[in-house]
Amino acid sequence: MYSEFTLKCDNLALIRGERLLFKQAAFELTNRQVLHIQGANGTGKTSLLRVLCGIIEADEGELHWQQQPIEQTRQDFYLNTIYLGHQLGVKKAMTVEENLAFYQAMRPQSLSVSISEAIAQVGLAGFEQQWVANLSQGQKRRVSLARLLLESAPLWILDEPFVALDVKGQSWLAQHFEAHRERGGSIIFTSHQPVELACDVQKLVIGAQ
Amino acid sequence: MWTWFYKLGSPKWFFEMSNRWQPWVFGLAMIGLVGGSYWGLFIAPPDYYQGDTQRIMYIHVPSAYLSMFAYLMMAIASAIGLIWRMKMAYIVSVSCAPIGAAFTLMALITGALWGKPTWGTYWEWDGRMTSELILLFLYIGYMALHYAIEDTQKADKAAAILAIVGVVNLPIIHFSVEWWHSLHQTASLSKLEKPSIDEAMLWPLLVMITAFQVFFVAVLMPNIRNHILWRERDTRWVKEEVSS
Amino acid sequence: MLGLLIKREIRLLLRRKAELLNPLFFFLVVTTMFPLGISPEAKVLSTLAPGVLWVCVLLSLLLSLDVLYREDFDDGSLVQLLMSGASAANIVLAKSIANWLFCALPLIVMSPLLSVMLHLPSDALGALIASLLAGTPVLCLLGAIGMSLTVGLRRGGILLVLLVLPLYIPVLILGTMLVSAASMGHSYLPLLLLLIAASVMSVSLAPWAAGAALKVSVSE
Repeated sequence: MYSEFTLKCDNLALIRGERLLFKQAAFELTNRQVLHIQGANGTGKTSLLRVLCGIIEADEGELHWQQQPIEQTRQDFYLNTIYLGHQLGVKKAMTVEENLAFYQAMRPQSLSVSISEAIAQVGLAGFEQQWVANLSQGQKRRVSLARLLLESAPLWILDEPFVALDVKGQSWLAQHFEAHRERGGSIIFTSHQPVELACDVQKLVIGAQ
Repeated sequence: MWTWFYKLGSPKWFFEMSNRWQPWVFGLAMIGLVGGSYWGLFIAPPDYYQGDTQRIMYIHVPSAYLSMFAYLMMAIASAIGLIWRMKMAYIVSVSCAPIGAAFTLMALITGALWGKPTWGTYWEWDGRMTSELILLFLYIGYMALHYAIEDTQKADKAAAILAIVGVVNLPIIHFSVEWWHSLHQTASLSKLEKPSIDEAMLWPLLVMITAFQVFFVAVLMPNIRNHILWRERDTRWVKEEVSS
Repeated sequence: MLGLLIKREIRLLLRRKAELLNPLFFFLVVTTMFPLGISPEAKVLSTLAPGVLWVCVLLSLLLSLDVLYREDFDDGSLVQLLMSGASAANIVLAKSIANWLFCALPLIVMSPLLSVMLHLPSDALGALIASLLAGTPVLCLLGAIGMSLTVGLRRGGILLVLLVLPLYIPVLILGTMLVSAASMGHSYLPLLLLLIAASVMSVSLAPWAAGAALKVSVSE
C-alpha cells in the first residue's frame, strides 16, 4: 500500500519558440486516480508530462507536490515517480535483465516481484539474457513496461504507453493499471487512441483554443 | 531596495529608462575619452625610456581592464540569472560578451603595436598578453555556445554556467600563465615594470579608465535594448514601440 | 548509489571496447606527427617531449568523453538517471570516475612507450607518470562540464574543444613544467602538490557545474 500523496497543477502554460502550446492546464491528483491527458497532435501532451517531471520549465503556473512547491520537493517527487517517455532509457548494450536490475537497484524500495517473473509477465520469457539491441521496438517497450512491475513508485507518468503494443499487450497493461490503483497508486498518461479502463478516468484536454 | 531590484528585472522598464539615459551616458563617455586622450597624448610627459610610444598605454591599459571587467560582469549577471531566474540578467550577460571580446581584441592589438617598438616584435609570449589571448578564447567559447543552442532559454542557462566556470578559472589561468612566463622569461623589458607610475601619467590614465568604463555602459545599453526588442517581440509594448 | 552508477558506466564502457581503444590510437598517431613534422633529432625532441605528451593526452581525453554521454542522451537514459533520485552531480562524478579509470589510466600506461619515442630523459619518466596521475582527474572533470554543456548539440564536437581547451591551460602548464623540471634534475614535489590540489578542487566543484549543465541539456 502506498502512502498518501498529492500532486496539484495550477494554470500551467508553455510556449515553445513563438507558439503557445497550451495554457491554463490544471488538475489535482491523489491516490487511486487516473488522469488521461488528451489533445490533438502538437498540443504539447508530451511537453506537459516533461514539465511535470521537471525536465522542462513551464512559462507560467505552479506545481505542488505534497502541498509544497515542487522545486523544493523534487527529489522526493522523483523517488515516488516512474516516467516512461518516447525514449525508453533502456540500454542496447545491456541485457534485458541487467537493464531492469539497474533501475530496480536505484530505488530505495521495490515490489515483491522477481525480475524473471516480471520479464515473463510482459511476455519476454526466454529473453532475459538477450541484448536489448536485438529486440524489436515493441519488445523494447515491454522491457521498459516491466519496470512498472518491479519498482515501487505510486505515481506513473506514461507517455503513449499503449503505442507499439499488440491487442493482448494493451489489455494486459489496462489490467495492470487496475492492480496499481488497488495498491494505492495513480497514473497520468497520454494516449491518442481511446482506452477502455475499468475505473473512472479524469480527462484533461489541452491545447491553445 | 527590492522594488528597485524588481523593476530592474523588467525589460520594459529597463528599455524606457536606458533610452532616456542614453544620450547623457554617451555624451559623458565622449567628453571623458576626448579629454583623457588629449591629456594623455599631449599634456602628460613622455616616458623616460620609451618616449612617446609609451602613450599607447592610455588605450591599452583601459582596454585590458575593461576586458576583464566585462567578463566579471557577465559572470555575475549569469549567476543572478541562474539563482533568481531573472530574464534581464541573462540579457545583460549575453550583451556583455561581444563588447568584452572587442575590448580584449583592442588590448591585444594595442599590445602588439606597443610591442613592436619595445620588444622588436609584434607578438611576445608575455604573461599579460597570453592571459589576454586566453580571455579572448573564453569569450569566443561563450558566444559560440550561446549561438549553437537554438532555444534561447536553454542557451542562456548553458552559457551562464560556462561563464561562471570561466570566472572561477580565470584567476587560476592568469596566475599559472604569469608564472609560466616568469620561468621562461628572456631578457625583455616588461611594459609596466616600473613599480610606481609617475603621477603626471597616472592621472590621465585614471581619467581614461573611467571614460572607458562609462563608454562600456554607453555601448552596453543599446546592445541590451536590441536583445530586449528581439526577445519581447511578441509583446504589445514592443509592437507599439516599433510602430511608433 | 554512486557505486551503482559507476558500475553501470564501467559495464557499458567495457562493452564498447573498440571505442575505448580509439583515444589510445589517437594518442599514438598524433604523437608520431611531431617528430615527422619538426625533427627526428633527439636533442630537439627531448625538450619538446613533455609538452607534446601532455597536449596529446589532453586531446585524447577530450575525444574519449563522447562515448560516455552521447548514447545516454540519445536513448533517454540521461532523463531516467536524473529522475532516479540520484543527484546530477553524482551522475557526472560516476561518469568521470569511469572516464578516468578506462580512458585516462590506459593513456598513462601507454605514455612511457611514447616518451621513449620522443627521447624524454629516462629520469623524467617517473615525473611524467606522476604528473599525469595527478593532473588527468582535472582534465576528466573539466571535460565533463564541457561535454554536459554540448551533449544536446548535433555537432558539439568542435565546440567542446573550443570550450574546454582554454580551461585546460593551467594543468598543461603545471604538468609540462613538472616534467621539464624533472628532466633538468630539479625537485618537482611542489608542482605535484599543486596538481593534486587542482584535482581535489575540481572533484569538489566541477560535478556541480556539470550536473547543472546536464539538466539544461536534457531540457527540451
